[in-house]
Amino acid sequence: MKMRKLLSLGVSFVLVCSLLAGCAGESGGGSADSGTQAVQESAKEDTDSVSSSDEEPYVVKIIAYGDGTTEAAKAVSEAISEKTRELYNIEVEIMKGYTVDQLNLMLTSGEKLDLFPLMTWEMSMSNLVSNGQLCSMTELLPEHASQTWESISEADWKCVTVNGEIYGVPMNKDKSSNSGFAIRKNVVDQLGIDVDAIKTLDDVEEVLTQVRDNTDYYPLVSSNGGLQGFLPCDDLGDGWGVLENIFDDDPTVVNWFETDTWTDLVHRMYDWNQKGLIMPDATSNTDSSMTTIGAVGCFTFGQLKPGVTRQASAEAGTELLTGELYPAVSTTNQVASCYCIPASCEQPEKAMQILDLLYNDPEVANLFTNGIEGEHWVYTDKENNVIDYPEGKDANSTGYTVFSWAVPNQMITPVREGDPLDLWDQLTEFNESAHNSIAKGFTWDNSAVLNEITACENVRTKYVNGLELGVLNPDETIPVFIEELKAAGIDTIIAEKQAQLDAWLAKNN
Amino acid sequence: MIGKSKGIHIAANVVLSILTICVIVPFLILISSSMTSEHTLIREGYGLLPKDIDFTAYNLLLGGSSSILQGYLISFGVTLMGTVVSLTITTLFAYPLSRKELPARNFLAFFLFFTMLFNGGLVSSYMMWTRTFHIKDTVWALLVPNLLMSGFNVIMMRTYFTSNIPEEVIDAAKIDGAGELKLLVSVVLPMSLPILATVGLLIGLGYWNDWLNGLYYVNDDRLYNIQVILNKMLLNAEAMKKAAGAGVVGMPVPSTSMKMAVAVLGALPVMVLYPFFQKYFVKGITVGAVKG
Repeated sequence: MKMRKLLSLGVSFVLVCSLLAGCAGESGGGSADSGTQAVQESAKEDTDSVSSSDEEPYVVKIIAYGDGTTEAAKAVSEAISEKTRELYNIEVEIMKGYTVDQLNLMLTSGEKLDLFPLMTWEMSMSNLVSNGQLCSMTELLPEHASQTWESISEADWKCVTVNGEIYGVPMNKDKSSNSGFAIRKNVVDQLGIDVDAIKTLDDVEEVLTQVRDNTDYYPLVSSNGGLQGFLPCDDLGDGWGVLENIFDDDPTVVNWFETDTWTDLVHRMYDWNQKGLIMPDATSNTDSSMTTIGAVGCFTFGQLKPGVTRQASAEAGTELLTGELYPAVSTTNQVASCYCIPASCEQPEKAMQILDLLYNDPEVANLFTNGIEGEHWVYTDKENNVIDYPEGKDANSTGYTVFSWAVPNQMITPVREGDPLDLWDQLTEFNESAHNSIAKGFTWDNSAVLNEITACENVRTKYVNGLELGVLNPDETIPVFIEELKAAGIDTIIAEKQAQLDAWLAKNN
Repeated sequence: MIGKSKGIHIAANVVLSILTICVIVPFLILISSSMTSEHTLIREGYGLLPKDIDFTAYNLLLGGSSSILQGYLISFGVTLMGTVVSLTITTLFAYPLSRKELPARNFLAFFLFFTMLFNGGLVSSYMMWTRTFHIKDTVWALLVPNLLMSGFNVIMMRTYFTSNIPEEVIDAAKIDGAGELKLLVSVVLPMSLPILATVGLLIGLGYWNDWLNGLYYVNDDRLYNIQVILNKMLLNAEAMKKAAGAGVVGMPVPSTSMKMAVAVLGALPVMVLYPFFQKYFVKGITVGAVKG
C-alpha cells in the first residue's frame, strides 16, 4: 500500500517535471528562433529599404527617468513616434515611473526593453556586463549613431567602456563638479559675511561661530544623518580604495579612512561639535540638507555646478548663496550615467537610431524631456528658447515629470525660466575646465570582492556618520573602525582595485 | 484560591496595559506628527501631542488631485473581489482536505505544505507572470500573484473543519439525503462562520496592505491602489523637490509630516473596520489553532 503511494507520488512528480521542462524548452527555442529571424529581417531591410515601409513598425520601448501619468506618456510617445515612423519606421513607447527594482527585474527576466538610463548610484555597469545583461554598442555606434559617436570625447567614451566594449551613451549633463557650500542669504546679509572670501575650513569655522553666536539657526546641518562629502577625492566607483586627492595625480589606491585628509576632517568635526557648531542630533536627521536648512539650519557643504544656487534655493524654500572650496574635478562616476541597450533588445540597431535622434534632434529631445508644448510647457521667450510650466501648473501637476538632466542630451533642450540664457554654454565650459582625475575612464569591476565589500559596508554604516558629524570621539573610535575594516577585508579590495587600475593605466597611457 | 486568581488577574492586566501602551504610543506620535509643521518637527522633534496644528501635509496629499480617491476605490474593489475569490477557493481546498474519505488526501496535503516551504523566488515568478500570463499593467496583477491562496490559511481552515465539525453531523446530513454540495453550503459553512471571518480578514488585510505587486507589475497610474500611491508619494516628496529645481521656486515640501500623513491615511480604514471583526477573529484563531 505504502509502496504504491510512493510510486504514484514519484510518477506524478516526474510528470510535472517533464511538463515544466517541455514548456521551458519550447519557449526558449521559440525566442531564439524569433531572434535570428529578426536579425535576418533587419539585414534584409538594410539592403532593401523600400520594403521596410510596408512592414509593421518596430516598437522601441524606452524608460524615462521620472514619473507622469499614463496618458501623458502615451501622448508624448505618439508625438515622437509620428516623427520616427517617417524616418526609420520605428515607434517609440515611453515607460515612466520605473523603480530600480522593476528595472532590475526586467533586465534579469529578459523582458522586452530597448533603452534605459543607467545611473551610477543605482546600478553598476560592470556588474550588468558580467551578468550579460547589456548589449555592446561598439559596432552600432559608428554605423547607426555617427553624429553621437563623433560628438562625445574619447575620454568620456572610456568611462562607459568595460573590457574594451562600449555599453552606453553618457548623458550630456554636468560631467564634473566643484565642491563648496551653501549658506542662507538672510544670515549672510545680517552678519555682513563676504561669501567669496570663504576659502578654507578655518574660514568656514569662523562663519559658523558667528552664526552660532548671533542667530537662532543651527550652524552646520547634516544631510539624511550624514555629512555631505566635499573633499576632492576620487572614490573610484564605490569609495572602497580611493585616490586621496584628485589634484595630486597620484595613482596610488588608499584606504580613505586611513588618510590624513579624512582623519583631519574627523578631528575638526569633533572639535566643531564640542563647540556647538553642528546641529544637535545630526546623525538622526532624516531630511536632506536643503530641507533642514529651509527649516532650521544655515550652512551645508555640497557639490556645485552652474545653476545650482537657484536649484538649491528652490529645494530649501529660502534664498541661498553658494561658494566654492575646491575647483571642478571630473571622475568616471560623474560621466558614466548613461543610456544603455539591454541584451533583451531584439533590434539593437533600431534602439541605437532612436538614441541618436534623442541625442541630436532638439525637437525630439525636447518632447522627451519636457513633453508637449501647451500641455506640459509653454514658451516664455521663444527667441531665446526659454520655457516654463503652463499657467497654473507646476512641476508636480503637469503630468509629465521626467528629470531634465536625466535625458540623453539636456544641452539641446530649452532652458527653464529663471535660468541664465547661456546655461548650457556655462555648463560646457564648466565641464571642460574641470581637472580630470588620473583614473577618469577607469571602471571598477568589483565582482571578485563582493563579500568583502558587503562586510566593509556594514562596518562603514556603523561608524562613519558618527565620526564625520563629530559625535564619536575620533581618538578612541578611528582605531577600532580601521581595525574592523581590516578584519572585513578592505586590504583585499584595495589590492584588487590597485591591480585593476595599474592594468588600466598601462593600457591607456 | 480567589486571592491567587486575583493576583494573576492584576499581573495580566498590568502586562497587557504595558503592551497596549507600546502599541498606542507610536500611533499617537504618528498622528500627531502628521499634523505638525515640518519646521517644528525638525526643530523640536516628535511629540505625543501636536505642538502646532498644521494640515499642510494632508492638504498636499488630498488637495492636489483625485488620485488618492481613485486609489481608495481600486483598493476597496481589489480587496473585496480578492477576498471573495480567495476565500472561496481556500474553503474549497480546505474542506475536502478535512474529509477522511478524500482520495489522494495525503498527496494533496503534501502539495499544499510544499508551497509553504518553497517558492520560485522573485525573478522566476516575475517571468512567469509577465511573459506567460501577461498580467503586467492589468488589474489581475493586483489580484493574483502571491495573494490568491496562502497555504497557511488553508491549513488553519482545515484544522477548524476537522476539529469543529463532528463527523456525526455530516453522517446525519447524509442520511437525510444531502449531497456533497448541499452538505457544504447548508451544514458545514453555517457552522464555520468564525473561521470564515478570520481567514477573510487575514486575506482582506493582505490585499489592503499589498504594495509589492503594485511595485513590480503596475506602471499604469489608473491602476495604482492606495498603498502604491502612498509609496510613490513618499518617493515623490523627494522627486517633487528635485523637480522644483526645474522651475518652481516657492513652497518647500514637508517631507517628514507628509510621510506620517501618508501612513495615517493608509492605516485608517483598517483601524476603523478592525473592531467589527474582532470578536470573530479571536474565536477563529483560538478555535482553529488548538486541535481537539
